[in-house]
Amino acid sequence: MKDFKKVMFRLGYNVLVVFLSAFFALPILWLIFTPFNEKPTLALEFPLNPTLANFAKVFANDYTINAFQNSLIQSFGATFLVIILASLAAYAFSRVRLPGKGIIMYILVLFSSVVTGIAAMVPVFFLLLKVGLIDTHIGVILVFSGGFLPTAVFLLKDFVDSISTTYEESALVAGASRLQIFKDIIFPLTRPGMVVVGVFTFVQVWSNFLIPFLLLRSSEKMPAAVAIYAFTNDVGIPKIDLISAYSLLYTIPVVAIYIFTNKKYGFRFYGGLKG
Amino acid sequence: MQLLSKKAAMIFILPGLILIFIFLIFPALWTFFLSLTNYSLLDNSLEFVGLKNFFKLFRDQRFWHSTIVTFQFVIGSALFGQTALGLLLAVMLHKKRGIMKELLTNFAVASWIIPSVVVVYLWAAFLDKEYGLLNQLLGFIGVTPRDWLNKFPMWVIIIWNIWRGSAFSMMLFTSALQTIPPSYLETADVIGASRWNKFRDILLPSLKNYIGTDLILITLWTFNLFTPYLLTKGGPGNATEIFPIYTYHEAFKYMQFGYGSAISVVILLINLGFALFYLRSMKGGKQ
Amino acid sequence: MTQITGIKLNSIVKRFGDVTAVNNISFEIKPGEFFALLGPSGCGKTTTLRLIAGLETATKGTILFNDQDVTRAEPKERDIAMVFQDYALYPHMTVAENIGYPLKVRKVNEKEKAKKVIETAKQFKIDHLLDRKPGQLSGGQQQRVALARALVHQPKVFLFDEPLSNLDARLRLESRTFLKHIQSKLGITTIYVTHDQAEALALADRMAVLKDGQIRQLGTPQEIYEQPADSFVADFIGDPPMNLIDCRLNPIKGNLEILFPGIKVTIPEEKLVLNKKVDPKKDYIFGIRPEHVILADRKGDIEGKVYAIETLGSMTLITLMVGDSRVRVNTHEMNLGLKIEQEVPIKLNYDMVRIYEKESGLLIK
Ligand SMILES: Nc1ncnc2c1ncn2[C@@H]1O[C@H](COP(=O)(O)OP(=O)(O)OP(=O)(O)O)[C@@H](O)[C@H]1O
Ligand SMILES: [Mg+2]
Repeated sequence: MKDFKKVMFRLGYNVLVVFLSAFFALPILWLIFTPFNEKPTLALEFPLNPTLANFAKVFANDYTINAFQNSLIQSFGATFLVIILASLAAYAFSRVRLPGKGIIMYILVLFSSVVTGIAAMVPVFFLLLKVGLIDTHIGVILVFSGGFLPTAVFLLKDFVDSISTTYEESALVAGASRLQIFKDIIFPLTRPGMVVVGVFTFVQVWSNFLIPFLLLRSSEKMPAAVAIYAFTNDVGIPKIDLISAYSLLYTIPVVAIYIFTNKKYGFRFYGGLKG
Repeated sequence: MQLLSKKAAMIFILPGLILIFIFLIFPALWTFFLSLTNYSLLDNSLEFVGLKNFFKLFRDQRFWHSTIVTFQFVIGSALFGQTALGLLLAVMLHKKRGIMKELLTNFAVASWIIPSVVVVYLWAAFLDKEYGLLNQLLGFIGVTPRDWLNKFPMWVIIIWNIWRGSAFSMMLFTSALQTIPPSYLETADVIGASRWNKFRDILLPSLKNYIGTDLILITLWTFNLFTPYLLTKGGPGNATEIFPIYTYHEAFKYMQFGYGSAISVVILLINLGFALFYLRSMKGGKQ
Repeated sequence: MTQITGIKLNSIVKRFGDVTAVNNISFEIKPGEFFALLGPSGCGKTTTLRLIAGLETATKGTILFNDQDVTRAEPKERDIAMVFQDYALYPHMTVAENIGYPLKVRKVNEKEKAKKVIETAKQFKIDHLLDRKPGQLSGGQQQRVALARALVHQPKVFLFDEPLSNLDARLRLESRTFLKHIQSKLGITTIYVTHDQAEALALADRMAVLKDGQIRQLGTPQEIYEQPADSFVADFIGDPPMNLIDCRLNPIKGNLEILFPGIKVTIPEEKLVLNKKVDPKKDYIFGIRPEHVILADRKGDIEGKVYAIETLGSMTLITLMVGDSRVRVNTHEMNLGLKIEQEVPIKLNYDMVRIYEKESGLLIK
């Protein structure tokens, strides 16, 4: 009787694992197979004669290449800005006793979770319109940076807090100047934290649809996220050959970055804001 | 002796704060202001109208419809979906090894990290009436093909979001489970506790705080999620017009900025409630 | 040759908000001296050291290096070296880069630097570790690297903040000896912070005992061991600790009655000369180190009852019940043939008895 119960449990357990695996895997299979098919369709077909022709089409298309470039500009721009500004602020917050520090950090974190998604996009839209930054890379970069900075400052402050101040003090006693200490000690020690924050920002901006969709107008500035969405032919039917290959190319950096950070830092740092 | 003087520290902090203020805090406050105006690009008006937008909103059938749909979406996909499925995955895979575990976790994580635009295409292909994999598979067991996206739009976006987001909860709970000392479960084994007892008496209590955190975060994110727009455009009709899509339609499609802002204010206030709750629970968890 | 520096602290006060970490401390350290700051946790040792290093600025008072006021000078103007409790070895630099860092910031040229690093590393027997990162070293090796880094530029003053407390007992002893050797050889003025009284006694030429931000006693280890200035120092210094027993003193007709809880001893007055007139109504503390309580053969000053016998290798620690108090006796004799509960006569070395006022804690003999 007990054995029977045990067997049934094992059976149930395995069925559940298979079912859940199928649930998560099935929609993704299309992304893995379709780009290599000669005639990609919405149906899932295993590429019996795998071809790279669809990728060739992507690279031959100015519009798609341009969209990738735009994604890179916006992602790197925001990443760069967030890393620099967040590191400076996080270091100051961590090391110097400033009046009202706790309150400021609290407000930042509060606002960064409250103001998310579309809720405050109407004023942002008008703000950019007023200052002439609508439909510009800079505008998109600034909006992303403003959104991710609180989380970045928070993560980095935690990180700097975990670095003992005796490193800096021992350099100070050894006779190093402030600049030398920043260059030789603080920067190398904070770098892993910066990488995490940078990767986080990069992935978020790279994957985000809403902000460029709302704040950009002209097609030559659109990043890949919005460009893919517009891949239809003249009569409005999606070009599946381009879409499938392009989607895979667009996804690969995100997956690669995930594998890299997950190996190096684990899941802790990856969670957080989702656009 | 500090490396950084207070003045220098201010200079370090200021650029970041300015950016955050301009692009995060100020817009949120301005949304409140705009919601009290009749700002619209159509007739270029900007007049103060008091709470008129809100009165209109609360008499608007679409708003109440949107509220219900949002509620269904959040309860279904965040509460019952992601949190429950994430918990199930974390617990059933805890301390397990082998290819099936790797496969399951990796595909779950993949569905979480693939950019939303791509995910939308994947699901459009998966659900397609004529060619979609789902209908093909169901065909094997004799189910006639259906246009899932148009016939069951709410179900689709709920299940889609469960698929999309469960990995986060799973990973959160998995890392929480790893902090439970193995001796707890070993002691339970020694005294002969059943699986259910171990789950209820050891795993669940250790996860309690994490479940709270997870629920708040997931709910907040789901509540603000715009991506279902790419799948359904809020339709058919306004069947899946959740709050973010409703806001988008009013503000950016019909250019009713004052009215759109009123909806945004409702969203922001609800977010504020969640966020305060979240920060409170974080503080409690630390003690 | 490095110039030898003397250090002087004049009425130093350091406050952090409401907390007074250092409360009016003055002392002088002679050139080349090994000076220890000893005290329980939170007494202000680290703060005092950081004030001397220039990592904190005094709220009040002045600090002089060779009669030159450095109270407000930056650390790098003081030409000091400091070893932190956690060593603060830069994890991203190799051992060689760590040791060479003070030279690098002084813009010493590469060749000279490499030579000095190897020289110093050899001195500390870590020259085979130069290419490793600190994370790949044992605790003892890390400690030597920290010492080497501190010494490489021949500082004027050497500061240590509990540098041995992260090592296990065996290694701690070894490092202590090594440190004493290096310091004696180089003759650099050294200030050493510790909460371990044995370490301070073993290393220091002179030392200060701190409590609540104030100096309780200043002197050579021997002075402090033999003549603790107050009941706190008496209790803090020594292992096994001094016997401190509450008592009353009653002078009668050329004799002195010492009333311990549950027992009374009468001795001729001249055996215990106090520098203050005793008050029979006041409480006193009778202090005697365990090695000055002697097991007598026949007739002793008092009788005690054996409570426990602990063999410590080179000596034996016997705890006796004398009246209602426990008294520790330390003896080098090993096979005493004592049994528990046995009555034994003891003699007290009255020269080494210390009497403290209970209320003020002050020494009156
Ligand atoms: N930066 C600071 N801010 C506020 N209070 C401080 C600061 N540094 C030290 N203190 C306080 O000053 C007192 C003395 O501290 P200090 O670190 O000098 O003690 P210590 O003798 O080194 O103790 P330990 O043996 O624990 O290291 C303590 O009460 C401590 O809390
Ligand atoms: Mg200390």
